[in-house]
Amino acid sequence: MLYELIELATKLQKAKKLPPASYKPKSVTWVIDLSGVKPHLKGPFKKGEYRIVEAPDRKRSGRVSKDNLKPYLLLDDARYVLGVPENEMKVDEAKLMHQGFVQLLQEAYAKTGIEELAKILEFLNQPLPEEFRQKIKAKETITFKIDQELFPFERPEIQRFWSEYLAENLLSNDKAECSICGKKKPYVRYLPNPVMVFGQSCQLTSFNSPSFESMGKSQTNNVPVCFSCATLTVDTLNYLLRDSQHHTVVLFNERDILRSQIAVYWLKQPAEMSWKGITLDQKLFAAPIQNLVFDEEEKRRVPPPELEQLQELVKLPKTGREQALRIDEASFHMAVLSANKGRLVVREWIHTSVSRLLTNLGQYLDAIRIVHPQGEQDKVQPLPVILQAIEVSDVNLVRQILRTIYQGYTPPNQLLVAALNRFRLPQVLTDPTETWKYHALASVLKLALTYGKEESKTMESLNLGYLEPSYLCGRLLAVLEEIQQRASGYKVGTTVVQRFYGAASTAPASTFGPLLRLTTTAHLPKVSPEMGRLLEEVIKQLDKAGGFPTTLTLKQQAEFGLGFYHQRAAFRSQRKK
Amino acid sequence: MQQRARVQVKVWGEYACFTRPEFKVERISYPLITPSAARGVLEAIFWKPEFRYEIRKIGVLQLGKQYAILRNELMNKQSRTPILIEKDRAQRTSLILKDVAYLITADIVLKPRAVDPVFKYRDQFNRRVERGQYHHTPYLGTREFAAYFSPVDADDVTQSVNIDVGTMLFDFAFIEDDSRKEVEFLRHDEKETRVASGFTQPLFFEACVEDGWLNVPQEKYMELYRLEGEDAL
Repeated sequence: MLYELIELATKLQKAKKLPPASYKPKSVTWVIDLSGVKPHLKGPFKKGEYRIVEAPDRKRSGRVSKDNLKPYLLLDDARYVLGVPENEMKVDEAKLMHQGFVQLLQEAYAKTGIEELAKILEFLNQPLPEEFRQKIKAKETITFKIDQELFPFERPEIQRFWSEYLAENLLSNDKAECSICGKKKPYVRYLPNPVMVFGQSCQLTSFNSPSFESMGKSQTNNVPVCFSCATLTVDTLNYLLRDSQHHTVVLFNERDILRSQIAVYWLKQPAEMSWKGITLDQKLFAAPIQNLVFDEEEKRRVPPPELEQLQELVKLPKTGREQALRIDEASFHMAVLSANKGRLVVREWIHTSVSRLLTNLGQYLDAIRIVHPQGEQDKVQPLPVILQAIEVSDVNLVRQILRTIYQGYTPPNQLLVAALNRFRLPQVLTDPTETWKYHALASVLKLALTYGKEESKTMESLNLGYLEPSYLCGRLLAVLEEIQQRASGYKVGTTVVQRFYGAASTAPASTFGPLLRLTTTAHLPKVSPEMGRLLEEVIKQLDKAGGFPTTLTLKQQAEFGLGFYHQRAAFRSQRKK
Repeated sequence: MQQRARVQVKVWGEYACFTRPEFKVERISYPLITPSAARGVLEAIFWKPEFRYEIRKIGVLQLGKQYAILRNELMNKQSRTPILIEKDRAQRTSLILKDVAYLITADIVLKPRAVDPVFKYRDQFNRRVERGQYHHTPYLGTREFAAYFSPVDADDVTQSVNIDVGTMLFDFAFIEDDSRKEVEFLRHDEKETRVASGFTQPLFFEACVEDGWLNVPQEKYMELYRLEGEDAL
C-alpha cells in the first residue's frame, strides 16, 4: 500500500497538489506584521477568516524538556513564538519552548541567509510590546509577515531547509534497504509526522511495546524507512484524508473510534480518461459509498450525481474504444482505515484494475437496482442509506459489503438477516415517512437474492413470469391489501399487512386461509371484478406451483418480501396513472 | 561434488499472515508468501547445518482472500516473570489471507562443512515430504497459522495472476558484529556451532508475480552471503 502511495505522491507533486515535505495546512490566529517601523499585530482571525496556510509540521509528543523540544519553524503557538506561558506554573516551560523556537530560527537564518528571518530574530530579541502580551493567549497560533505577499515559510529556500533539518534530526547513522522503495539509504529513527484519522494523531509505524519489537531493535530500526518515503507516505495519506475527492467515512461511532472506518481511494491511470463525456476519476468509482447530497432543484437529499453516471458507464458495451482508453492499465486503490489509540489500522486494502472494477460495480448495481415503492424508476441507494436502513453498525459487515461492491464477493448472509428483520416491521411497511427505508431494504433483499445472477435484471420490478411459491405468496398479500384498501376507499386504519405480514412471510399455509376468507366475504364484493380476476390468477399460479408452503426459509422470506414489494409498487404506479 | 539440488513442495493452509514489516504492529500481510516464510516452511520440514535453502521461485496455486481479524494480544514478551493478562494486553488488528496454496521451488545448497553429497539431503527431504514428517509444525507467516504440505501433483496448476507487489521482504541477514550486540544467534562454522552476537539487517527485493510465478533473484542470496560473511555458505 505504501508503495502505491509513493507512486501517487509523485503524481500529486507534479500536479502541485501535495504540500511541501513535512508541511501541513494550518490556520493562523495572529499575524505579526514587521513591514512598518513598528510591529503591527493583525488578528485574531477565527477559523475561515484567514486563508489556510501550508506550514512546517513535525511529530510532537511527551513532556517538553531540553531533549524533547520540537518547535515548528516560523508558525507555532504563542508559547513557542513569544514565550507566553499557559499559567504561572508553566513560565519555565514557555521560556524553554521559546528558546527552542529562536534557536531553530537562528539555524534557519544561518543556513539560508534570508533577511526576513534576521528581522524576525531582531523583533524577538526586543521586549514583547505590552499590547501583544495582553491580547495573545498561550495556545493561539502566530506567524510573521514582512513586506512580501508570501509568508517566510512559504519560500522554497525555507521549505528546503525544513526538510533537510528534519532529515538531519531523524536519520540514524546506519544504512539499510528502505522497506518501501528498496534503496539503500540512512533510515529514520521515527516517522516525522502522524496521520490524522478521526481526530487522532496516528503513527503509521509505532513499536512502543516490547512485544512489537524483534531481534533487539527498537522503534523504526525494526523497519527501515528512508526519509523521503517516510515523509511522502504520511503527507500523501494526510492529503487523501483531507481532500473530499479522496475519502468517505463509511462508519462513524463516536463512543468507540476503533469501530469507525474511513475509506481513502485513488485512481492510478496512465492519463486523464473520459468516456462518452463521463470523466473516469476516483469520485466516480466511490459513488456507491458516497452519502446523499442536497439537490437545490428537488429540495431534498438525493444520491450523488456520479452514481447515475456510473450506472451509465457500466452499461456501455465493451468495444475497441475501451482498448484505446488503456483501461487495463488503470487501477483503483482503496484502503479502509481506523484509528486504534494512536496507531493506524488498515482494515481493508482493495486494489483492482478498472476493467475488473467496472464488471464488479456493474454486477452490484444491477443487483441493487429496484423499482421505487411508488412504481417509478428510481435512483440506486448509496451505501450510507442502506446502512442506515438496516440499522447495523457491525464493522465486519460494512467491510464485507465493500468487498461485494469492489471485489465481486457474494453479499454476506448477515445482510439478508438484518434486512429481513427490519423489512417486516409494520412501521416500515406502512409509514409514508419510512418509505426511503422500505425502498432501501427491498433493494438489499434483491441484492442478496440476485447478485451475480440473470434475475438481477429481470427482478427490478414486478415479474409475472417468476413462479416461485414464496414470491407468489408475497404478491398475494399485496393483492389482498389492495382489495381491502379499495373496499374502504383507502381510509382503513390498520391493514392486513400491518397485522399479518410477519406471519404470512414465515408460515403462509396457516395464515392465508383466514385472510382469503375475510377478503372474499367482506372486501371483494365492494371492489371492481378486475381485482377478483387478479386474485384468482395469483391463486391459480400458486396452486400450479404446489400451493401454499407451510414455512418459508430465509431466502424464501426474502422472495416473499420482493413479491410483495413488486406487486405493491405496480398497484401504486397504476393508481398514479 | 555437486553443490546444489532442486526440491519442490506444495504448501497450503486455511489462514496466512506474511507480515509487511512497515505494518508490523497492526499487521497487514503481503499478498503472497515471502521467500523468508517459504524458507521457514522448508526448514520446519527438514534442516541440517550442512546446507541452506535458496528459494528459486514460488507458484501461486491459490492466491487467497483478505480477511481482517481483531484479537487481544500481549504487550510484553513472555519470560520467566508471569504476565498478568488484564494489565498487559492490547487489541490489535491483522489483515490476513484466507485459503492459500503455493508451490515452493528451492535449491538445497551445501555449506563448506558438508561431507556428504547433496543428493542425500534432497532424497531425505523428499522422503519426509511424502511421509508428512516435520521437525516442528510448518506455518504460513505466523505460528498460529499452521501449514499443510505434500509432494507436487501433476494436476497442480498455478493461477494465472499478475501482481506488482512492490518492495517485498527477501530475508534477514544475521551479521556478526561485536560493536553492535543487538541479538544473539547460532553460527554454524566449518567445524562447530557457536553462539554469535551482532545485528540483523532486512533485505528487500522488487517482487512481481507473472503468470502465477514469483521469481526470486539469485543475486539477493549473493548479497546475503556477503553481509553474513564466509560462514554463511
